[in-house]
Amino acid sequence: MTYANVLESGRFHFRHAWFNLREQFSDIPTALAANALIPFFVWILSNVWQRFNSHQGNFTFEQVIVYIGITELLFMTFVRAPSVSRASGDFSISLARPRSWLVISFSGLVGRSIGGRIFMLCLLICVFPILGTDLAEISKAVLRLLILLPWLGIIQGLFALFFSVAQVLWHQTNYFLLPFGKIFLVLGGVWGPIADFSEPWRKWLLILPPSDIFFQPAYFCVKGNFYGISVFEWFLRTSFLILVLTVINIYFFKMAKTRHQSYGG
Amino acid sequence: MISSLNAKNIIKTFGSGDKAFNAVNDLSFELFPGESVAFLGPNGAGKSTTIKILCGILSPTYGNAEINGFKVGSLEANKQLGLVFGTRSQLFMHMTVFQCLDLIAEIYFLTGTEKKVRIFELAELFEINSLLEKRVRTLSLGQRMRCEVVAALVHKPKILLADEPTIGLDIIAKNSLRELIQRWRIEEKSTLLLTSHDLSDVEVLCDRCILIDHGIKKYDGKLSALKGNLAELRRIQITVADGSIPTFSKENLIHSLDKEEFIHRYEVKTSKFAISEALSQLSKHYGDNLQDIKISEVSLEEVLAQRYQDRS
Repeated sequence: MTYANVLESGRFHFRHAWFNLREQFSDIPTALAANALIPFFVWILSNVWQRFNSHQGNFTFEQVIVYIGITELLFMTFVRAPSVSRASGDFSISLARPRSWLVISFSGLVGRSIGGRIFMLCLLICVFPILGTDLAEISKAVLRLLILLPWLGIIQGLFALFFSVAQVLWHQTNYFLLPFGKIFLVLGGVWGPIADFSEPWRKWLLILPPSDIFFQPAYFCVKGNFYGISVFEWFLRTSFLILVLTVINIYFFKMAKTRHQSYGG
Repeated sequence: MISSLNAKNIIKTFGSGDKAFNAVNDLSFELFPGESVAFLGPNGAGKSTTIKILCGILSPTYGNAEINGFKVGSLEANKQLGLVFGTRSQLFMHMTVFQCLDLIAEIYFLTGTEKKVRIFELAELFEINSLLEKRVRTLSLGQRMRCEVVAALVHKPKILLADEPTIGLDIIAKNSLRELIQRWRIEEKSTLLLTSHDLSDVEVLCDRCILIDHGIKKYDGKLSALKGNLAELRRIQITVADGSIPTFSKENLIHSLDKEEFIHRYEVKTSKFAISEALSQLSKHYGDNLQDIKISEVSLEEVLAQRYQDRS
C-alpha cells in the first residue's frame, strides 16, 4: 500500500465518519423525541444523588447536574443496538465492495457516536440552565467534553465494532448488548461519581475500564482534571484499551470472514 | 473477445462429513460485454450462492471466477461490479439522494468533478434529477429503486448484478425501471446479469438465459430457445354463444384442451398446421355462434413451471 493510498483511504474514512455524524442531525424531531426524557433523568438522578450524598460529596449540586448530564450523554450513545445492527448487516455487501468492512464500519460508528453525542450536548446546553446550572460552569464543561469527544468516539466505536463483529460471528449476540450496557452503567459511575463511593468499591471501580470511559471523562469535564490520575495516565490507559479492542476486532473479523463461508453469507 | 465474467467449474460445498452438500456443482459459464443474461432457477437451486460467489461474498470450494480478468473478490474485480438488490437498500434513509450517491461514489474511489459529472449524467438518464435533494425516506418505492440502480452504476461498473430489482413495484414503476435499465445498457454497452422470479423482467431485459437446478447448469442459451418445441404451440380460446355446441377436433392438428359452458380451448402446433387454417376451420365449425377468439403463446412462466415440476 502506497502513501497516496493510505492518504486517500484516511480522507475517505474521515468523510464517511462526517457523513454519519451529519446523519444524526437529519431527523431532528425523531431525535428530540428519542431524547425527550434525558433532562428528566438528569434532574431526578442529580436530586437523588444530592439527597443522599450532599454531606460527603466532592461536587456541588450544580456540578452533580453537569456530571450526571455528561455521563448520561456518554452512556446513552454507547454501543447502541441500531448502530450495531447496521454495521453487522452491511458485512456481506461490503465484501463485494472495494473497501474493508472493518474500517468502514469503524469510521461510521465513530461518526455516529460523535454525532449523537453532539446532538445530546446541544440538548443539554439548553437543559442545564433550566436545571439551575451556572453558564460559566456549563461552558467550561462543554469545551472540555468537546476536546475529549473524538478520543471517546474512537473507544465507543471499537466497542460497538466488537459487538458488530460478534453479531456476524455468532448471530445472536445482540441479546448481550443490554446486560453489557447495564454492567457499564453500574461500574462506570453513570448514576453517581465514583469519587464519592466508599472504599473498597471506589478503589476497585477506578481500576476498571468503565470508569475510564464514563466517570473519568465526566469528572474531567466538571473539575478540569482526572480523578487520582494525570491526563497522561488516562491517555495511556485508554490507549491500551484501544489497542486491546483493535486486536480483538481484527482477530474476530478474520474469524467472521472464514466462518461466513460456511453458512451461505 | 475477453469475457466480462468467466466462471469455471465452480463448486461450493456447505457442511462437512455426512452432512456436506454441494449448493453449486461444477458450474461454468461466460458472459460477454454488452450481453444481458437472466440467471434463473427454482428456490434452492443455488442461484443466490452463485451470485454471492460472483460478487466475492463467498469463496468457491473449488474452481474460480473472474470479472474482466480479475479474480472475484479482489479489489479490482469489486470495482468492476455494480450490485442492485431489490430487497436490500444501499441508500441511507435519512440523507438526501445526492449525499448518498456522493458517498457511494467515494466508496468506489470516484472523487471531485468526475464524481459529480457521473452522478448528474446518471440522474439525467434515470430521470431522478428532481429527487436528488430529497431525503431517501420520503421517496416512493419506485423512485427509490431508480436511485438504487443509479447507486449501483455510479462507479461505471462493467457488470451489473441485479437481484429482483423490480420486487414490490407496481406495473408502471416496473415498466419504467425496465425501460431505464434497457436505456442504460444500450448507452453504456455494459453486461447485465439478472435474477428475478418475475419473468416479465426477464423477457423484457434479457436475450440469454442460464437455468440452474441443484447447483447444476440445466440450460444456457437464447431465451427464445428455452421454450423448445413449446415455442411453436399456440393456444386458441373461443367464446361461444351456445353452450351446447360440441368441441372441434382434427386429429393431431387441432387438439381440444378443455371445455367450459361458453369457453372452448384448443392447442395448435404451428409447424404442422398453419394458424390461419386452424382459425378458418374453427370459424366454420362454430359459425354464427362464435363470439370471440383469443390466441396466445406458451408463456415463459409455463415453460419454467414445467421444468421446475420435472425436477420434483
